[in-house]
Amino acid sequence: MITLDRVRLLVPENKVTDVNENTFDTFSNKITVKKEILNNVIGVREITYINNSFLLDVSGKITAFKGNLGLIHKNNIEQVFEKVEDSGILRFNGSPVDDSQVLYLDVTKDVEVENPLETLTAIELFATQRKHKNKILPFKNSGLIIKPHAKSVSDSLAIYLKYKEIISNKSPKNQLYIEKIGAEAVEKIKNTVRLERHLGTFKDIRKAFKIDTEKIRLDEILYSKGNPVKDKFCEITSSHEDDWFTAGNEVF
Amino acid sequence: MKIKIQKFLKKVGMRTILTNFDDDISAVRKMLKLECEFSSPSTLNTVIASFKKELKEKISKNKNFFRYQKIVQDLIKKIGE
Repeated sequence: MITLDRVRLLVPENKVTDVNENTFDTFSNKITVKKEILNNVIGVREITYINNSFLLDVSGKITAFKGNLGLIHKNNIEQVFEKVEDSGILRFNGSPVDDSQVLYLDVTKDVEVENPLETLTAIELFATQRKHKNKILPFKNSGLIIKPHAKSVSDSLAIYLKYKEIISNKSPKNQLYIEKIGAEAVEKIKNTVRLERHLGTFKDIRKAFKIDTEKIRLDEILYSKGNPVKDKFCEITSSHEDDWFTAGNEVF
Repeated sequence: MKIKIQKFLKKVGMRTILTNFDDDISAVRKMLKLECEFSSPSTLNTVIASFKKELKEKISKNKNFFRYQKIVQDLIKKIGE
C-alpha cells in the first residue's frame, strides 16, 4: 500500500464551501494561513489560495493517534480532509479526493531493523559502489540522502532514523505531536529506519508511479499498485544485472 | 603452484571457503589436498602457510561485505511487504 509522509495538493475552489478569512493573511503576495494558526494544527504545513485553488501541504502527522506515528494512505485520506475541516480554516463540498491534484509527495516506508546504524552503513556501502548516477550526502538524524547528479531531476531517497528525528525536534508543535502519539510509541520506534522517496516534479512523479496523465490525481497515487520506494532502493543499491541481488538470492 | 591454487580458489568459490573456513584452515587444507597434487605433505604445508595470511584477510573483508549484503537484501524484502 502506498503511504505518504507529505503531500502538496491543489484542491479546486469549487470543492471548498466555506473559508474562515480571519485565518488568512497576505504574505509576500501570497494569500496564506497565518503561521501562528498552523502552529497549533498538527500535520498541516501550509494552506494557500492560489490560481482559483487551495494549496494544501499536509504531513502524515495529521493522521497520527495514540500509538501511531501517522502516514497518509488510501484508508485514511478522508480523515485528512476532516482534520483540515476540524481546524476551522476550510470546509469542503463533499470529498475532495477525486478532484485533488498532486504537486509534490514523499512516498514513505518505515522498516524495523535489528541494528539501525549498521543498516545505514550497509546501505551507504552498496550505494557508494553504484554512485555513477547518484551522489550520497549526509541527511538529518544520522541519515543519508541519495540524489541524482542531474539537476533537472527532483527524485531522491532519504533514509534516516525516525526515533532520532522525533526526540531531537524541540519545537512546541513537535511536543504536541509527541503528546498525541504517546511516549510509548516513540520508544517503540528505536529500531525503525524511515525511507522517503521525495518526488518534486510532475515528470518525476509520473515516472515513479508509471502513469502518464496530464494532471496527477491524488486517488491514482493512493491506489497505485507500484512500490516507488522499493524501486528506487533497488536502483541505488543494485545494478541492472543484479536481478539475483534484488530477488534476495545469495552471492555464490 | 600459486596459479594452480588461485584457479582452485576460483573454482570452489569464496562461498565454499566462507562456509568451511573458520579460525583454522583445515577445511582449505582438505580441499586443496583433494584438488591438487602435492609432492609431499610438507609442500602442502608450505603452500598453505604462504596463503594463510592472504586468505584470512580476504575472508575477513568479505565476511563484512556479505553481512552488509544480507542487511540490504533483507531491507529490500521488508520494503516490498
